[in-house]
Amino acid sequence: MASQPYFPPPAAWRHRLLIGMFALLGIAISGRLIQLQGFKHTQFAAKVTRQSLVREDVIARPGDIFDRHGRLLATSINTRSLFLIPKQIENPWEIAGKLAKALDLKTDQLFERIGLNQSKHFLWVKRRLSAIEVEKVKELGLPPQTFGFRDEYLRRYPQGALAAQVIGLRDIDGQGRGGVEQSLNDTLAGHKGWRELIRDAQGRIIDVQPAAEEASQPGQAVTLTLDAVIQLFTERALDEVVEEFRPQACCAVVLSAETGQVLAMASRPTFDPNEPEAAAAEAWKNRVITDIYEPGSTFKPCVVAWALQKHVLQQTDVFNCEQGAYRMGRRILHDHHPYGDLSVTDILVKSSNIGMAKIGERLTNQGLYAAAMSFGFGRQTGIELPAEESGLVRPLKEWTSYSTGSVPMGQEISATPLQIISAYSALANRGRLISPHLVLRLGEEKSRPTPVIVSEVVQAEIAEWLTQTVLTEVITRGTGRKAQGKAYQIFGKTGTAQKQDPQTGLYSKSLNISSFVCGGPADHPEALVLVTVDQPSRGGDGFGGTVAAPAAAKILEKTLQQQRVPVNTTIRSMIQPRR
Amino acid sequence: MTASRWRLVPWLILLSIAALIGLGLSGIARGDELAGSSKFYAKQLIWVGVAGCVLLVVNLFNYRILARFSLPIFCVAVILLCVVFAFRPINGARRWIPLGFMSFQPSEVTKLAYIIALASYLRFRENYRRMSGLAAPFAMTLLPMALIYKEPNLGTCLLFLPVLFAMLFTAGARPRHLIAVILLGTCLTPVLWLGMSREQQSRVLAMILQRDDGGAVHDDGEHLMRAKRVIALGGTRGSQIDEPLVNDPAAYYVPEARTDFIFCMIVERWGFVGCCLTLALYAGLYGQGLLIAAATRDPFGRLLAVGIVTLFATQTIINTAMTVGLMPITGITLPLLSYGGSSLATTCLALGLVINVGLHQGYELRGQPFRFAAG
Repeated sequence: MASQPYFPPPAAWRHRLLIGMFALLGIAISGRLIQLQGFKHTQFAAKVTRQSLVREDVIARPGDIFDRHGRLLATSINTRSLFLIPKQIENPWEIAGKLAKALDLKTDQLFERIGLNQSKHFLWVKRRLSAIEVEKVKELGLPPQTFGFRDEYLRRYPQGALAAQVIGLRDIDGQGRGGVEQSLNDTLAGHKGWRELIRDAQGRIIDVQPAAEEASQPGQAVTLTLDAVIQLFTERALDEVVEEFRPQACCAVVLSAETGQVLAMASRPTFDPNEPEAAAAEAWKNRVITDIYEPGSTFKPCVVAWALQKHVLQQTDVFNCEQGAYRMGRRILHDHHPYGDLSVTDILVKSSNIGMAKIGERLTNQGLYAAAMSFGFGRQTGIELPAEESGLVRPLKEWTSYSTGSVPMGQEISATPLQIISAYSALANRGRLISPHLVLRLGEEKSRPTPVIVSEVVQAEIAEWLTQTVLTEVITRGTGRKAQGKAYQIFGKTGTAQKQDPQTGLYSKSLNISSFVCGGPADHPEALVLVTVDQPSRGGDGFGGTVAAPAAAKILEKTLQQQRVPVNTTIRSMIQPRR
Repeated sequence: MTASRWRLVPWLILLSIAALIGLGLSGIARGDELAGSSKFYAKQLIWVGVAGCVLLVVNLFNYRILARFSLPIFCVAVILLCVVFAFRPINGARRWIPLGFMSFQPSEVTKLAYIIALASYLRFRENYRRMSGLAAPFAMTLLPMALIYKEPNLGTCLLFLPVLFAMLFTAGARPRHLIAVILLGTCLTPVLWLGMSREQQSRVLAMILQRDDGGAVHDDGEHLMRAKRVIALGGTRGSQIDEPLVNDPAAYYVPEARTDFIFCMIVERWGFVGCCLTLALYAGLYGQGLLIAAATRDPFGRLLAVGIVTLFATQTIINTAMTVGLMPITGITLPLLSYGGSSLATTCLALGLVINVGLHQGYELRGQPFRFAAG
C-alpha cells in the first residue's frame, strides 16, 4: 500500500464536517438577519422616526388692531431673521467679520457667540432684518449650509405712540405685553402651527414631511372702541397739560356715556411702541386703570345722588355750613371759603366739605358704604385690559366716626380714574351704571354684543337733576368755570385730592392730584371726559378747576364735534342759580 | 496556460469574488452618500484595480514554490509584527506601520504567511497524530498570536485558532485530541476574560445585554444598536429599490460604516434579498475553495486552501455575527467587501493562491499525504 501512489479521497468526511460547521454558523446568522429585518423592522423604524424628525413651529401672524372706524393701530409685517448653523462653520472669524460689517454688529462679539455655540445647529444672529440687510447678507456669498433665514412677523404701530399703553405691545417672541395685546393675546396671537422637518446627519434641513404638518392659524383682528382722532387730541391735550404744569404724571379718558365705550384713553409719560427699548419704566403704566387716588370732590355727587335715592335728602334741603369750620367729634372740618346756609346744589357747586359732611351724617357709614359700592368703587370695572386696579373701599367694620366726615368729601376711599368716570356714566346715563369697555368686536364678526353690565344705581330723575342742573351750575358759576365752552353746555365736577406725603404719611398741603370730570351736552350726555393730573409742579394753585378742567373741557368739546353732536343753541348756559 | 488549464479555472470563485467586490463597492458608495463625501468609493475603485492585478499575478507561477520560502516569509512577518511596536499608537493600538501614502498592517500579511508556513510544516508529517506532535504547530501559532495580542488586536489574534484547528483537522489530527484542546481552552475562558481590557469586556457585555427594541443604550451598546437599526431599516428589498422607511440620514449613521460595518450598508441598500445574495456568494466562494482543497492531491495545496478558506470564512462569520449582535464587536473586516486597500489586496492574494491550487492539481510523489484523513 505504501508503495502505491496515494490518492486522497475527494470531499472526505473531514471536508464535509468543515463545510457543515460553516453552514451551521451561516444559518444562525441568517436567522438573526431574518429576525432583525422581518420582525424588528417596524420597531426600529418607529424609534428612529421619533428621534430624528425635527418638529418646528410655524409662527402665526398676529391679528391687526383697529380703532372703531377701521383705522389701523397695530399690524404685523413680514420680516426675515438671520440664523447661523455654528456646527457647519469652518472659519468663524471670517463669517463673523462679514456679517458684522453687513449688519452693523460687533465682530468679536459675534465671533464669541459662534464659538460658544460651536456644537449647535441654531444661533440667532439678528432678528427682523430690513429688506436691505437681507440683500446685503445674500450678497456676502456665505457657504449655504452655514446660515438661513426664518420668516418672522414684526409688530408695527402705524400711529406711533398713540394710545401706547392701551394697545401695549408684542415682544420679539410674539407674546403680548401690556394693553390689549396682552389681555386679548388669545385672540390676537392665533395658533402657531408646526411642521416636521427631516434633517441629515449634519443637521441640514433636507425635506419637509408633507403629511406631518399643521398650518398656523393667524390671529384674529380686534376692533377697539377707541376713536383714533379723539385719541389724538386727547393725547395732545395731555401734552399741553404736561407743558404747562409739569406734573409727575397725568391721564385722560373719554367715555361714550350711553354705551360705556372708551373713545380715548391716554397717559403721560408715554412711549413709542415701535421703539420699546427707549421706554422708561413709568411710561408703561396705563394710569387710567393703574393709578389709584382718593377721588376727593369728584365723589361728592355720588354721595348726594345716593342720599336723594335713599330719601334722607331732598333737593330743596338747606344746610348751615358753619362759616367754614365744623366740629365733628374731635375733628374740625374746614371749607376753602366760609359759607352760611347752602342748598344741596350750592354744596356741590361750591364744593363745601362741611355741607357734604352733614349729608354724610344723615346717610351714616352704612349709607356711605352702600353709595361707594353701588357706584362701582372698590372693584374692577372689568375693562378688557390687564393689571386693572380695583381701588380701595375698606370693609365697613373698619370705618370710624371719622369716616362719616371724610368719605362724603372723597377721602378714605381710593379709586382709579376709570372707576370715577364710570360712576359718572351712571349719572349721565339716567342712573344706570354701565361697565366701561374697550373692545368693539373680535375677528371678522360683523358685530359682537359686548357684555355690558348695567345696574340701576339711582332713579333717572335724580341723575338728570344732578347732571342737568347741579353739575351744570358747577360749570356756569362754580369751581369748574374754566371749563365753560361756547359750543356746548356741559356738566362737570372738580376734584383736588391731597396726596399723602411719603415722608410723614399725612396729607400733604403741596402735593395733590387735580382732576376734572365732565360730560356733555348736559341735556343729553353723549360723552364723558376725565382728566387727572398727578402732582402739578407749577402754574397756579394746583386745583382741579385750574389744572385739569380746561384740558378736559377742550377734549370734551372736540369729542362732541367729532361725534357730530349738534351745537347747542338753547339758553342752557344762561341757567340762573336757583337761589 | 494550456487549454486543459483553462478548464481548471474555478469560474464560480472568480464570479463570486467579482460579485462580492461589486457589492462592497455599492455599500461603500452608500456609506459615502450617507456621510456626505465620496472619497472612499473613489479610493476603493483604485484598489479594486490593484487587487485584480494581484489576483492575476499570483496565478502566473506555481504556488508550490511558496513552500520552499515558507520559513523566511513567516520570519519576515513576525519581524514586521515586532516593528509595529516602534511606532506611535493610533487610538491606543500599535497595529500599523506608516508608509507615508498608506498605513500597512503587518497582521494582515502575517495571517497569510502563517497559513503558508503551517501548511508547509504539516504537509509531510505524521507526528500530529500524537498529542505531543501538536506542540510544534501550537507553538508556531502562539508566537504571532501573542505579538498581535500585544498590539492589542484581540479579534485578529483569535482568528489564528480556527485556522490552526481546521488545518490540523484536515491534515488528519485525531478529533479527540483537538476536542481535548478545545475543552482545555474553554476552561481557560475566565483567564481570557480577566486578561481582557475594560473596553474589550464592555464590548462583550454590550452583546450580552443588548435589547432589540431600538431604544437608546450607552457606550458600546450604541454602536451595536445603530448597526442593528440600519439592518432593520433595510427591510426586504433595501433602500435601492423601495422608498426608505425613514428619510433621516442621521438614523443611518453607523461608526465604521464603510470598513468593519460594511455589511450594514449592503443590507441597508439591498435589503434582505441583498444580504441573502451576499451570504450565498460567500457560501459559493468558500464551498468552491474547499472543493479545490478536497480535489487537489498536493498536501501543501490542500492545507493552504483549507487554511485560507477557514480564515476568510471565520472572518465573514465573525463580522456578520457582530453586526447583528451575535458576537462582540471586534475590528475584523469583511473579506472583499470592507473598504481598505491592503485588506482587499491581501484577500485577493490569498484567494488567488486558492485558485492557483486549483490550477495545479498535480501531486508529489514523495510520501503518502493524507493517509489518515479518512480515519
